[in-house]
Amino acid sequence: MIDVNKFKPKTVYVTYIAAPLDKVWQALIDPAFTKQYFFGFAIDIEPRKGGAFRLLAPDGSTHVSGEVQEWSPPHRLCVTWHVAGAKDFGELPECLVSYDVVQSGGSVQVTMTESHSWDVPEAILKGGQSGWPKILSSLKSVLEIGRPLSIATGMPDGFLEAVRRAVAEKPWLKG
Amino acid sequence: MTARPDQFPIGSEVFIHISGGWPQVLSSLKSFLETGKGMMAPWHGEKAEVA
Repeated sequence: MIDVNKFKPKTVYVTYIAAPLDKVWQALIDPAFTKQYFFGFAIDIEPRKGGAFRLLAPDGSTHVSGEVQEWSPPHRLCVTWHVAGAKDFGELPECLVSYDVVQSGGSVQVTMTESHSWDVPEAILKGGQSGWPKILSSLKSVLEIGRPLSIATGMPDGFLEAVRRAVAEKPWLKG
Repeated sequence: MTARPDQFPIGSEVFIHISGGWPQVLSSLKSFLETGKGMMAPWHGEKAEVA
């Protein structure tokens, strides 16, 4: 287990979904759902603290790997997040991703929090700030209208350069 | 919409409050455009289904 206290929240995305809370939770942890709204990735998660977590690409390869830090169905999931399947990205330190799911009136509030243990450059944070709204907007559509959104993929300008620079300089080893 | 909560500890009151207003309005806008039905504000209580 890692020391989660070393991680600080850097990006938070909040959305409200008109669906039963249990169904929202199911959509977060069931590969049949994640394949629809998460860029085609299938979640593979051992439902316990300390269990393995992976996001599998359509070809079966591991895109993201990690470990379950908190497993509190149907309200909270927290995993470490290591992007293993992308060039350079796999050499960055792992981050933490959590989902919090709470009833809010007749809707369900879903909060995604991305936390980091080092001073991540803005240009790298923009990757998540571009991706999470696409993923969670599509999750909301899947649950409310039964089909995902069609959204352009791709990384923000300067993102890949910033990742390469960070991998070369390894600022997380300093200070 | 993206919030940057660096200045707030996890679970802080301020952070809870900024998780409300705009995300609720924009989530309701999206529901309205996709389904024709908006969302009731949560202070209407648990019985408030999509309006």
